[in-house]
Amino acid sequence: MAKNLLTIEDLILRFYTYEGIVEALDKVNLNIKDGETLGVVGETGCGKTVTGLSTLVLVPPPGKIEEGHILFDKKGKTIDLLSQDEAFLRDIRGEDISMVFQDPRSALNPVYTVLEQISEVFLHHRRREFIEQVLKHPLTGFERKIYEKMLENPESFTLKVISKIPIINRYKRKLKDEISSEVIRVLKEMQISDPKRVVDMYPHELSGGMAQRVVIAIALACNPKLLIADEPTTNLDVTIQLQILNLIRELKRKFGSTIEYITHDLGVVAEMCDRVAVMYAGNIVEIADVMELFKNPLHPYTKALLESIPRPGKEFKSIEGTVPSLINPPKGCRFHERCPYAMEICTKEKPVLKEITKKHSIQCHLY
Amino acid sequence: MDVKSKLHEFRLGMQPSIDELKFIATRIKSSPLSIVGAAIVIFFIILALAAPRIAIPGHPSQGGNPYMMPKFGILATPQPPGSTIKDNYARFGTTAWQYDIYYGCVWGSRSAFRVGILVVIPSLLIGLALGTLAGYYGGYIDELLMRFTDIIIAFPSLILCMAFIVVLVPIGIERLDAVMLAFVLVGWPSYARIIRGEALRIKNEDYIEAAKSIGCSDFRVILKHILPNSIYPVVIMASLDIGTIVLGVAALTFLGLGAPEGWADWGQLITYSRNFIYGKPTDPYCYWYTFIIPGLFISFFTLGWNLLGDAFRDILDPTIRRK
Amino acid sequence: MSKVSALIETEALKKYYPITGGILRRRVGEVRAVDGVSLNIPKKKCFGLVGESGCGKTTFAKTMIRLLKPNSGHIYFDVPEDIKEEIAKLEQSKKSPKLKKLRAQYDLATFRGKKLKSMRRKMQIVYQDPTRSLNPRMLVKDIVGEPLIVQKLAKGTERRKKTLEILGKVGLTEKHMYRYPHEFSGGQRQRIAIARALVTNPEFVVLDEPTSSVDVSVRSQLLNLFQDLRRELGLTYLFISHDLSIVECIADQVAVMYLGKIVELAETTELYKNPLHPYSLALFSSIPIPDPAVKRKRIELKGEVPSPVNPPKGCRFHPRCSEVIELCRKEEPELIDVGNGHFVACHLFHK
Repeated sequence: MAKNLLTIEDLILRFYTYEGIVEALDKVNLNIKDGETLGVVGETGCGKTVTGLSTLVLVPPPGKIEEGHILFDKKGKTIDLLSQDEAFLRDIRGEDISMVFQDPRSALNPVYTVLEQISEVFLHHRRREFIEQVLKHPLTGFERKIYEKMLENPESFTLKVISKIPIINRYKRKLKDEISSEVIRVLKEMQISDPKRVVDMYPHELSGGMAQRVVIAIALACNPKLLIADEPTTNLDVTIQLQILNLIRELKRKFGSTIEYITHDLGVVAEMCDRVAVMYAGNIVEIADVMELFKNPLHPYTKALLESIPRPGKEFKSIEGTVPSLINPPKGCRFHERCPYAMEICTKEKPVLKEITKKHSIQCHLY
Repeated sequence: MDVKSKLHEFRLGMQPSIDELKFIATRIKSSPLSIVGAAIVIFFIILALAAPRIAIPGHPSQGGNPYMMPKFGILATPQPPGSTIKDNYARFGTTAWQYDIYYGCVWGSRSAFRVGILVVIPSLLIGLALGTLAGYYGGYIDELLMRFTDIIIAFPSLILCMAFIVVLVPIGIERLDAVMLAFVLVGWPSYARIIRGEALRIKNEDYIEAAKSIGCSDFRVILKHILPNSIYPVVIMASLDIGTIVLGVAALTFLGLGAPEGWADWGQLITYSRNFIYGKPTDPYCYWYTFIIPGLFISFFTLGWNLLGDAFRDILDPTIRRK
Repeated sequence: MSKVSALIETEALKKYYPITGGILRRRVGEVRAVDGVSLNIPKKKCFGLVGESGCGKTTFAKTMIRLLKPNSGHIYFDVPEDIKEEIAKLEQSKKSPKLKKLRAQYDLATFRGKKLKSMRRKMQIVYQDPTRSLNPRMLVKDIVGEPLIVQKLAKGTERRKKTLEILGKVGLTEKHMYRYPHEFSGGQRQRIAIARALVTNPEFVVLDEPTSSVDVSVRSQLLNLFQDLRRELGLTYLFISHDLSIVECIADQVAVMYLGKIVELAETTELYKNPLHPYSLALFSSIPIPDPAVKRKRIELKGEVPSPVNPPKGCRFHPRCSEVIELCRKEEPELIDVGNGHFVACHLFHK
């Protein structure tokens, strides 16, 4: 029985806006096992993206995480990410947990080349290893002394001064070359056929599919244990989407990453995921193995969602009503206003996530 | 029955405007600086409107024109505040040649508003018209207009103003009118540039194309679709400009090219203090009231409009609203 | 061709965008967005147009309803069959003056000014993103009522009545009239856009990815609305989408576009059951199926879509085609009828 890599416990998240307090996440409970791909499905506004951002503790103001724990298993030790300081979290981001975003063009900085952006990850997390690599090469006495100094005292004042002087700081090139060859290797892994040409390109020169590969390269550069993918293929053409999905599958096989795949596309979920969590209005309403979920959906929302997939020849089924505003969310179960099976208790009491079988949990008063 | 439904429709139609006003009021309340700005501007408006009551005209030296400052005597040296010259009480003292500072400051607010509004509104309108046309049509019209604005902006504005005034006055245009016309001619390019930028940005939006798809003429597209969406930066600039224009006119008056002799204008008051700024060797700044008091009026007027302009920007900027 | 008469027909429609460069802004090349498309949309049917980004489907639709001016080609909107035949005959015998006169009278590509404006009443478009297609500073009643003003169709109370009527058809009420677009949800905004498109009683409506920007649950509501409105008002649709599963459910006929040209065209059931063109095969196989039990062969296309500035010689798809033969590199295939109303542009089917 694989153990949990990530456990989110009773997470409450609120946004303080002009129009009121948005109860974005309402006691969310989620766990991802080591090595699996968990899909998080839901419509716009259900809270799936902020759940991913919370894991990295990157929720922008006016959002605030009020309560809860996010337990991450780092090399055998369980730590609560919400009680760590910023410096610790910066080390974790990119090294242990990474994120791939929806729009590749806006996830990349338009004024830096591909090489510079991927190098940044290496420079932050793997600086020592690269310096050690450089020291293995034949170096002039001066260069060797500088690199050794970089290893033992990176914050030294002399180093900072020397690195600014124009001709003398050419020693940096050795480090850059070392990183550059690693970047090219990473891009080859991303099935980019001509990495030497791509490294010097700027984001606006890349096509959508290529840009998304670069974003994935940045995320996977240091081989993190957990990859959070937030709708990575939504903005791409369907044939390119196939390429990227195949790529993600291949990379998972090679590196054994655990993936939290956030999307609204049930087809992608059926393709990529082992387990699925369904979210509605800031709650996880159902979690199940993927086969189980599609064959035997229990929660009324999940049922309605699966029924609304367009099928030829049949009429389009839609869900009555609209997603409620989270500023003053409905009392009790947040879905009760649109639920065809709503009962008295649904309007008063919020249901708890209950485990029906080992493979299937649900949050609904019907069970 | 018809009256009732018309009333009903009127009330429904007013609702969105009422909602907007409520939103603006909340934003103003949350920013103390905008309240200060609004208060200052309102103070000056009241001052200008109440001028005939607060500083009563009718002194024989005015020659029947209330916009001329009353002259209480013929001495060159300014008299301090509170002194009485020939039975005339000078609350803020007098300038060189005995013009009443109090009267000048109060009626100067009228002058300030007149100059400010009569310069900003035509500049705005000309800039809007030309800028929108340039931005919307592009091509040669745009190139031509931009070169025009380049030429005007290339000159230092005050110098160019002076050049215009020197040309306009001999033709027979009244002194103050010439000053205002000069400012309009120098000021419209800035507005045109801003609006042109906005028009360029907006003309590629979907709703513009949608308007064309239902058959809107170019004129209608510009008037009803582009202008309402691009007017915010211009409104902000205009409110900031009112303060700047008054300063500019004051500067020109100081140099001798602005308001005519004896006109009730803050810049004119400071001009009269030119020879008395340093005061006596034994008693420096003893004539402080000749330039500090009118100076305060100018400063606060400009400050008020600047704060109000900032407030407008915070309120009207659609990208930072609803936060 | 088809038994049902065509509402709108295009012939070899081309739309190029010039690329200017250099100091004097000379034309250095052109983006061949639409490169010779001949299509025939039958009355009161829903015609689907699919393809990936950059294939030219939106440009084609906008050129077809004259939001853009075509570089060459002809558009015939509701022109009787005998006139079209006459034009075809005249073209062959090259009798200029009468041809020119007929063209000026019936060819939408040549219309200008008042004539074009009056045609706009009959053709409308619904855009993909309702947030961008509605003027944020206009009230709903003005947005929906504007076409009536511009086309001089109704005034005052009459206009108000018509506006209310069309809003009712899309499921909105009187109290929605006095609000701004940003106060509505995505689905409601799209309804406002639909109301605006329908208020002049058009015959032809272009739906440009109308459900791409809204939620899954709202999508079905909108699709049902489209079908109801088509039945009720006798509309003809051109439904553009990159979402093949939606097109399968709503369209009667589907055409597949690639790099500015139509590569395959057939009735919906026929096309989805039996795609012939290698690109169509790859396209259809790449749709993820929402059923984990189904495992099927997916054709992964290599490489990226080439730029429409310099399309490949011969068949445009040949650099990425797995079935490429020598002829494909030299000659561009024509759209050929392979029976059953199914057309393909591929040398493999030129028997």
